[in-house]
Amino acid sequence: MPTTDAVKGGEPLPIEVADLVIRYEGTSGVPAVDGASFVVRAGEVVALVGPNGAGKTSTLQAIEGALTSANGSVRVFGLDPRAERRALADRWGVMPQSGGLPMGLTVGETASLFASLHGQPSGTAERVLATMGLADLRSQRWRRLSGGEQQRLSVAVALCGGNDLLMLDEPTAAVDAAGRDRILELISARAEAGAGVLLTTHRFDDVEAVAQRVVVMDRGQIVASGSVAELTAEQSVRFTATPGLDLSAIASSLGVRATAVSESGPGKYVARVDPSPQAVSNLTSWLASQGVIAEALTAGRVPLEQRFRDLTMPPVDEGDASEEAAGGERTARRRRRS
Amino acid sequence: MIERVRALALTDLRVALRDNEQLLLTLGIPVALLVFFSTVDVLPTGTGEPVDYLAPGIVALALLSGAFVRLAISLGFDRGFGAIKRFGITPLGPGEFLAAKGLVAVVLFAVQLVFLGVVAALLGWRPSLHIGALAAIVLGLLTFVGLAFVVSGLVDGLRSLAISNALFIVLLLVSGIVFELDRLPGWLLAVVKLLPSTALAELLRNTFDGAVGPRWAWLTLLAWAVATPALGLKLFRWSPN
Repeated sequence: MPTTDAVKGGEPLPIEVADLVIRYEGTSGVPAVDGASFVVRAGEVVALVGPNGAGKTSTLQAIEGALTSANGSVRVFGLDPRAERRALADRWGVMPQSGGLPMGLTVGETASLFASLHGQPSGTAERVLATMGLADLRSQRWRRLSGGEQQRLSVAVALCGGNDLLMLDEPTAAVDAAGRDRILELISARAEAGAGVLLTTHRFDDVEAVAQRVVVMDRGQIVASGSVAELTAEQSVRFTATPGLDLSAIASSLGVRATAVSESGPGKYVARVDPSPQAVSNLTSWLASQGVIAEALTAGRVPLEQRFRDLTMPPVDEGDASEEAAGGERTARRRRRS
Repeated sequence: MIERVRALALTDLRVALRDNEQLLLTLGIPVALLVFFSTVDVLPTGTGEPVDYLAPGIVALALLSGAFVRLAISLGFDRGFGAIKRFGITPLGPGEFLAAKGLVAVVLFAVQLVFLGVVAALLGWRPSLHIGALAAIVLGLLTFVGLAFVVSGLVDGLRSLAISNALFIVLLLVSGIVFELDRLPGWLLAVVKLLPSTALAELLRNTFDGAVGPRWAWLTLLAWAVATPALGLKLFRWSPN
């Protein structure tokens, strides 16, 4: 387990994961999580992102102590969550991705019950419901709520838990814009109050809004981590055009080596270069000379979502590009992942 | 710990008491069976008044349906739906969860007992209560709440519903709840005497008539009352299958 970050001011970190390996039965020995290591510090929001099946939810379940098949080291406030789950449950609030709440309970009963189980002071449930915009739905039963309202209640139940660590698995999925804003505000407020926050999401605007650090997972492994600024620091020129263009010629027009240019998807070109007005002009001139129109040409820092795609969807082989263009994006992705 | 058990039990009880379908099953069906078979002489209930034979059996049936079938179905569906998993992330322990569910079963059975007692009295039932009746009821509640945890620990959702209902029907038919055990063939009688429902019905019939009840019935029910909660806790899991 990590030792350099293990203790801050004598208090163990909210989450320390080291060399986590999770295997499920019937998966041909392919681990769902393969050697993941990261920490969550008090007062910071860490976003765990990755494509479906990347291992995010399994990682969260291991941190909750719900998986007996996990190897490696997981510590929550210095304790093993599998052995000390109940002791830790006083300190955390957790929203799992799947699973509902007792169907017969009203919104008010649900929040009050979970606040009581966590030993929270009276009034906690009412306060959380008010901040989540659910106070008017207090008497509604869970099964009568809309999908977005159920999701907000699920987040509210996590907020009725312990105050030191918040773990949310896709908290803003299916939530409308107003609800999403409320959830993100509450996440930030909880972190500002000193809690560690770990959330998974597929929304990169959520990540940019609240996360101090991002951990990117793909096929069970952590492929990048850092702040949003660090992850998006790379400069590039990107454009979309006819698949199968000559990458060496594109590189030459931009004045970089051929290896700096790739076709990340059929007709989607990326040149890792610090863009100058002259280089962009040279590129468009070359494209014009080839009779090709470039669409969506951007130059500068890589948006977080694009950086994520780069990390989790490696470039296709040059020879595959035209074939994949005919087969469509789904075929291309399937081949890349196989 | 007590606070957590109390919070869950009170919430569950509130839900159970406002659920009309559940109330109909819990209160209506045992009363309907008691009234019907006490007034329409179609069951072999011996030479005395039918209600004298039927009332203790119906009390046993009410305990089975409330503490076992209702709980097994609700646990199975809640677990399959992922609602029980949510409790597993709180400081609530499995023992506390079982205790809260057991407390709700006790209160619901107390309501059933009062309801059935009044109706049976109106039908002419005049029991001569022995204190052993209370012990038999406590052992019965422990047994069947534990059995609900065993069944729901093994299967979720619809399978829990099917298995608990099938078990209920079998126990109802062979345990001397609605007709005398003497009607069963000898080989079957030896087997059914090992069932908790047979022992419970026998003990209630005796203790509601001022007697202690046979030793075999006490030993059988005691063994089940220890075994099923222990096994239920061992099989208990928060997450769905």
